[in-house]
Amino acid sequence: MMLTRELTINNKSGLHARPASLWVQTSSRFRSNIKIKHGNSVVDGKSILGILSLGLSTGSVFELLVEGEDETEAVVALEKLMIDLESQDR
Amino acid sequence: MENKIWHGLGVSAGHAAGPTWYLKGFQAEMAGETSQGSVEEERVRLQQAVLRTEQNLTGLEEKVRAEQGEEVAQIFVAHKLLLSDPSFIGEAYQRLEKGQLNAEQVLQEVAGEAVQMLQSLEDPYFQERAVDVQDVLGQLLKNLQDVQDDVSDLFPQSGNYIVLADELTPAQTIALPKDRVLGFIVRQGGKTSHAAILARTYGIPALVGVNDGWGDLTAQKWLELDGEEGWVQASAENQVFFANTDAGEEVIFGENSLLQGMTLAANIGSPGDLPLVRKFKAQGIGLYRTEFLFMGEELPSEEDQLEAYRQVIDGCSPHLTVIRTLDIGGDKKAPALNLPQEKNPFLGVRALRLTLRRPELFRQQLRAIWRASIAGPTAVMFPMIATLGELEEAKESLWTAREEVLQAGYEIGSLQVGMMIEIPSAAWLADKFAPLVDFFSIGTNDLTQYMLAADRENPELAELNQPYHPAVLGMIARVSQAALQKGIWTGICGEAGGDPLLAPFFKAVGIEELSMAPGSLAKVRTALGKMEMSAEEQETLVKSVLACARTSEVIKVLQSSKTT
Repeated sequence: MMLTRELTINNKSGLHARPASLWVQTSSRFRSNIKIKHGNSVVDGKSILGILSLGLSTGSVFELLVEGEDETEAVVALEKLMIDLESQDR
Repeated sequence: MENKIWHGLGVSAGHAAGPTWYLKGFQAEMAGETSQGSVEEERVRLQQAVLRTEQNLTGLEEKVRAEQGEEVAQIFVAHKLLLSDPSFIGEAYQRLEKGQLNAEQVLQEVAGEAVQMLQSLEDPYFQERAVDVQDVLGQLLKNLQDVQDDVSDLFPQSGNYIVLADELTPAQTIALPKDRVLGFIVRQGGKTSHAAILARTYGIPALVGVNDGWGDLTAQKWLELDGEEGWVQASAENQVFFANTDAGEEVIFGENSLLQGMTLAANIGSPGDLPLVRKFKAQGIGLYRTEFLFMGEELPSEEDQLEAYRQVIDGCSPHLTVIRTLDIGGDKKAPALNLPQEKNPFLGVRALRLTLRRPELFRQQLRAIWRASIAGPTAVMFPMIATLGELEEAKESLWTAREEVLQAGYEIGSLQVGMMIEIPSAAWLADKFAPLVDFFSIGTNDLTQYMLAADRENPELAELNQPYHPAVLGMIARVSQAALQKGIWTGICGEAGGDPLLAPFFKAVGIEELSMAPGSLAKVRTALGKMEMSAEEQETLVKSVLACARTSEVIKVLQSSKTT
């Protein structure tokens, strides 16, 4: 089974270097296959270059696709990261 | 002489003039000129280059985190992520398998594609990340070809210079002797480029994005620049000056302020950091991390160490320099030491545990410290002590080293002998340790991670890893009390030492020295200088902090004490 989530970038700077780097550090902890879909592009969610290539900025909406043995944990951790990034702005 | 002016983006304020030094971009031997091994051989070459690059980056990350803080350290974290990126290094391995290209060629190919991709993005911030890819590529190529072009070796041995560079990578910026750099002029880059961020942390005037007339500019022997207005012009020969604007004004604080009796010192990693110590008016060096000497390809000799220690002690005199013996192992890598991989590096053979197992290495360092001690007030400090036996053994080595130095006919000065308090067992037994040392220095980062059993490298646990936890602060109070009773002093040298919110609490529990990244000194000095608290008020603060059960409550108490 594959889990999908639609997420919106709410933090000020978008998925810039530091947030993108935190994202990759978090997603790399899981075994599951993690993909990010934005428009017509699908990239590896454990690849910093892949994520940067999407140029996600504030307000961007993307789809998170996770599949694997620890998919539930991965989705929870990544959703939490998005909330943390947002709250760090305040 | 025609007074020509070049313009760029001023990214770090200040005004300077002096002779120029030009750092040309790294030109790797082009693919094709290098030999092509079998697929297997190329794979091994690439693996080794990746490994070495990763080790270098970890060394830089640690050094920078300690001295410039987390923001700058993240640059190197991101670089390491590139090394494990499936669409970068992963892709390079895949292309190697086809057997048509060698390791240099595949790296250049995949990096070239990544650079192009990033530069095609709209946001200039993303475009600038192409520099990161080029930086990592450059390091990988150097490691593949064993090129030794350490910037610090290329830079002239003496004199002060304005550095001109086609591109300035973070690793290069950090390797330069900042005390002899008058300014930076960089052809590439924008306000958020790493060179800009680093120039600001070092307080060095800088100009980036000076593309027009670059060739002409690099031909100049003498220049004058303004890092705020963003211009550079040819200058008269022999005109050298330097002025930055953020050194801060001298503020005199009241006699009853919490600053009284508190020494504010700096944490440093090499003699190159001395200008920061002076610039931010540190009253000593509370932590000189010696491990960076040992992170290179070769181990330093006793003379190499002596030279580094002497420079630091001399530069810091008449204030005290606290030299910490080698704290390596686990997360800090030293290729020359050939350390085995460990499952739990933070709980493994690191620091004193390592040096006690390598008595020759340990005594060599201790001899260098004894010999350097004639240059000014010096202290030696042992890291990662869990038991009294370890301290006794370390002190024995110290006395043996002293005998060896005397027998060899060298002069020595006197040394204060101290220990780090970072393992809970030692903290709990502080009263037993105190009679054996002249001081304690509390390493709050490790003490916190060990007390809360939370890996400080794991971002997921950042919330747990807080020195504000009442158990950590309670332990610190207990250690300080034990020290006061036995008549020795206690300092703090972890990140908490540079936290203005905690400073009044530390003062109130009897801590006598706070040592921190030089850049934090001004804010801690101001925080303590502005506060006046009677002895009773200080006692109340300690009681209310120690009465707390939660980190959030502690933070509230500390914040309210600040505003009264």
